[in-house]
Amino acid sequence: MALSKILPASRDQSVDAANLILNGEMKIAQRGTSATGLTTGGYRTVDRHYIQITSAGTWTLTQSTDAPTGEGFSKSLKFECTTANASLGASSAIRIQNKIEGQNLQSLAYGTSSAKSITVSFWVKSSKTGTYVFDLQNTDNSRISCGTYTISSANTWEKKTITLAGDTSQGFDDDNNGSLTVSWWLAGGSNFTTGTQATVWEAQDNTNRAVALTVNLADTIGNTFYITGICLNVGDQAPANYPHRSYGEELALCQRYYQIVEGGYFGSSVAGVSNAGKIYFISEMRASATVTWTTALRNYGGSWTVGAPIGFYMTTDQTKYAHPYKIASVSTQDAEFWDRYTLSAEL
Amino acid sequence: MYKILNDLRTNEPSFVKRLSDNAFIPFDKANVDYLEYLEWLAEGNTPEEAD
Repeated sequence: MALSKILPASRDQSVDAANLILNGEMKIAQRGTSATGLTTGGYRTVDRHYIQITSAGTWTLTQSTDAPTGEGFSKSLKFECTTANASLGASSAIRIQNKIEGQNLQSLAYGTSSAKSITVSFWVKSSKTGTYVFDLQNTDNSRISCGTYTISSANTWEKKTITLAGDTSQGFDDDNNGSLTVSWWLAGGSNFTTGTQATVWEAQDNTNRAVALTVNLADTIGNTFYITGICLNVGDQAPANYPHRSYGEELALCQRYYQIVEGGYFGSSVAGVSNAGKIYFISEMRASATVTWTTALRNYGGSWTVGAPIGFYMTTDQTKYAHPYKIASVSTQDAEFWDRYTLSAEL
Repeated sequence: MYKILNDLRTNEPSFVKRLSDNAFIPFDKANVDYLEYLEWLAEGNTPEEAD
């Protein structure tokens, strides 16, 4: 039997169906399924999608169960405006961003005469019709390329597909840092709209990035925007079938950037002496991780201070484990502190 | 605001603590939290000294 006959049905064989976007189906939400009162950006709710909100109203973000029927998606990322800003300032902006490591972009062959096109496909539903802007930003070399799409029916799921030509001029660094930022613009002030809309790769001029955007999603309380089923693949067409990943596969990929882990110390404690524990990471992270204590799980014997450790012993490489330490106030042969932490090595 | 933390064994600065959420940030230029700290320093700010 020919090899092509036994490939999974979900793999379109005429295009490179590998999805460069992580969590494009919005399945993973390690930070929680809802965040309210947002006036500034950050990673909120669903993993890997950075939300930029700059002087553009107040928002609730949700990992929603509203998804296009019959397309194999069960979740979406939902924006809902709770305080409007109908008069955007120059620097105002709302963007959904997905940042990709340079070492994962080498197959694009950017910076060579063989640079390949990128096709992005996604499902959107918005309460506001109009023209929206999607852009690619090469953050290694300050270059941008943009595309547009139109939402023609309010509150209706629509699939959009945009193909952008490759950049023969500049490539991506082959390392673990962010090299490509993919952005969906939902609002933009004059700092982003007063130039000439970029449509092919060019030196980054922010005034050229959202010129075609006709929507200010922040203009009215209750405005909503949903997105899911994002696929960004090499080539000039989207795969016929979305390259779904299992929940476990997607979670493992996201944990390169963010994890929730538990760890601590078990053994004898000596009063007044620091006792170092250990946190083993679930998997190796992209870079040495920022460690944040969140929850006390067990405190026994040594009368440890409940809460964050005093510090961490330095390791030359904090991508796989970390050493929190606390000072006991009581000496005992049977002592334990055990806590929950978040680890962040986001781009 | 940030505070420098020393490694207990070497007594050398090894982490910076972000005081808003008690996050322990390693000195790694691939860590975006550390890059934000460097930008904060470049703006003329000064972290709290290590204990």
